[in-house]
Amino acid sequence: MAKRQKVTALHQPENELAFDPVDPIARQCHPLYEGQYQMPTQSIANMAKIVALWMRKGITGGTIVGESNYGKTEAIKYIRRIRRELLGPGVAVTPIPMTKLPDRKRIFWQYVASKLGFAKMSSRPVEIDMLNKSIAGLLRVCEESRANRMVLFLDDAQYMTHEYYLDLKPIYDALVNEHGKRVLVVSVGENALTNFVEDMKAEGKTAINRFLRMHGRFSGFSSSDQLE
Amino acid sequence: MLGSYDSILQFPVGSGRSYTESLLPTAFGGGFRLKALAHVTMDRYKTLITNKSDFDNQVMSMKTSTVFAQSLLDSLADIDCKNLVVEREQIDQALGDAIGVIRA
Repeated sequence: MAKRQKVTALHQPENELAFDPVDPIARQCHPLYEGQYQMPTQSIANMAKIVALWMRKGITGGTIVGESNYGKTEAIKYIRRIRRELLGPGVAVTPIPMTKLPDRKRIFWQYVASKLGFAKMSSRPVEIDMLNKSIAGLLRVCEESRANRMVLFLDDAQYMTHEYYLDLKPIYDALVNEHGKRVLVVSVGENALTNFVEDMKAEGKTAINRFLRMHGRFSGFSSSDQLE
Repeated sequence: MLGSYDSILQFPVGSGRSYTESLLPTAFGGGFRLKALAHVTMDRYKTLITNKSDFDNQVMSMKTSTVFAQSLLDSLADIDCKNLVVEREQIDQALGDAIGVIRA
């Protein structure tokens, strides 16, 4: 009896190996459970259009603001993934998360350099060394993409301060003036970023205007039609 | 957005089988679509988060909606059938899971 059952099983390999989409093991491998899928939403598409428009018009910088958990970081990943289709050839897209910002200028450059793959410091003065490495890191990103244009996303930019934007200026100047790159800096963050921009205007701090010229909103689902 | 689970998002990729269909094959074959729950879901969301000051009761975030979809599909997968009917309590439960994740 036992032998007969074994033979029967051998004659049903298709059934045993067939992919069952509701099998409990397969279900755990579903991207829905692993969170490894990208949801195409109108908000993400709108943000991509904004970035493409700013790039086409030669805008130097702008902010995109939306509440926490609305999918802004996902939108950055999406734009990075479709950069060629969205922005054309020769455009690099680089996100730098600003979630753990340092509290001193020389550390800012060190932070940026580390995010671009430079860990060790040379014996040269730390500030200049880190500034140069930040620039070199961004140039390397351009080279890898064979790009003469770049979109630099500052994610969680609500943590940026006036001083940090001032620190960003020499990086930007080097890329644009010394290396002939066209750079769009997009600061993506929560509502505090809007307050920051308003404060800069009110206080007449115009030195960082180039990074804050345009403004866009990233919205959630406010109606059932959008959710549908 | 919910309609993407019914059509655009596929598993396995390129199979032509949407996320909804892959998890609820019988119900999907019977005409079940996640997007048909959009109106009741948004209504319930606005009701559930009323008086919760840490939520904007006019707008649902991306994360809330994706956790909601995952939680609901997960619970429905266990009762997949041709004439699947989703009860309000099941929507509330999935929304509760999503709101809990955001809070955590």
